[in-house]
Amino acid sequence: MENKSKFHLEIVSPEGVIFQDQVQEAVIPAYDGEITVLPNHTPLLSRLKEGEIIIKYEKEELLIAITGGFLEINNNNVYISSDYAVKAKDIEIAKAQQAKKRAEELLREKAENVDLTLIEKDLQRSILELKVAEKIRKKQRIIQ
Amino acid sequence: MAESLQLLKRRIKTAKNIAQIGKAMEMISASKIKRAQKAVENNKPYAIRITDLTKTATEAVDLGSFNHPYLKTGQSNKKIVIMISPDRGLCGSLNTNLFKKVIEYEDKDLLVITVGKKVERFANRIKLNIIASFPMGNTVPSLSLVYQLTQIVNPYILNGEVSDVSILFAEFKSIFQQTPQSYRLLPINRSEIDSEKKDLPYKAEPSWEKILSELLPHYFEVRLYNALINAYTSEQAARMVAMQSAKNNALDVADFLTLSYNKFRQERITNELLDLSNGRFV
Repeated sequence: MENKSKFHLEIVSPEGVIFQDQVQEAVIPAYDGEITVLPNHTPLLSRLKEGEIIIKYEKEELLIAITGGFLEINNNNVYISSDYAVKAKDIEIAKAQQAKKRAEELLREKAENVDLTLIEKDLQRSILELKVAEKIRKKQRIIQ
Repeated sequence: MAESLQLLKRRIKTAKNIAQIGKAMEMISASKIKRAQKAVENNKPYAIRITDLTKTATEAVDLGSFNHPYLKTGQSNKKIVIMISPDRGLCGSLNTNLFKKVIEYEDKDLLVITVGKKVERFANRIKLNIIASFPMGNTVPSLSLVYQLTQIVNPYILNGEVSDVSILFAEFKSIFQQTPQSYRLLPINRSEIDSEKKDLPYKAEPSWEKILSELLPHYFEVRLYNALINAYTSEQAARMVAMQSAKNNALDVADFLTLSYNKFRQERITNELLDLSNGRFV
């Protein structure tokens, strides 16, 4: 029974394996809408867009922010490869806020030798991180 | 006499100082190698997944009719070479060996992107056409460097101006051996990723072709990042070995100087004693 109610989920990014465990459910931001993956999902290969993955395991919920990537579901094994993935817990809000401020400042200055698209990417990323981290904070407050 | 003793003493001190600096730099490099190897290890699962996925996708896509700028061989003679070197010297023959390879690229149609100050300066001196240059940095190269590189390369590829992109770096073979290596990154070799056509059990979203064209840039990035980490590891390994031998040489010199210092001192004492005993009979 144990095996049938769970499936294997693995999230890898260039910085290493971010998550690897047996889970019950995962909500994944696929290219055309969020999909919820449950055990025995049909084999699928899909592009992902940026957003958050919500993982349910051991009565706990875990949020992971990703910026696009690929999803492969095969035989109760789910693999997600993303350029950038980070656990919401690991995101230090202050750090993200600082990065956001810095990126905004840079954008304003429009310095000649700084690549705008890169800064925009940075900004997008820190906004995403903030969003996810704040969500977690709210949740913790409710529990308290 | 007294002067030369002083001089020897000073030289001994200098040699010992050099040995100490060498030792410190050796230890720094040793710890950096460990970090670099960890980065390689961490990057591995992702690199394997992307390569696997690309191969899976080609099982469903007919590469012959599939068109992507990264796969196209163009008519233009222009080429881009990404050259990677350390920012600093003190790493033995690593830079010299790299430069020997750089000299071979004497071509007017060549566009050069340099990573690392050493190769930037050298390419400037032999008047290569540099379109962008980046510093290598003192820490493991970050992924954002890869994005910056692709930002430079992509416009050339997409408008068909260039189709050939290669990379030159010192490949890490072992701690004692790093050889300059160059290979082609683009166009991606079809046979490298092509695989037998099969009916896959997967459903693809949105379509196999779209997934593949999304995957190819990732594939390119993975290979580029791999080369960057590799070059960084080489730099640290070369520096570690160079500093180790510098330290040993400095210690040898210090030993030799100490020996002559002691001999000198002994001689002086003997002479003084002789003077004293001679003086008694006068």
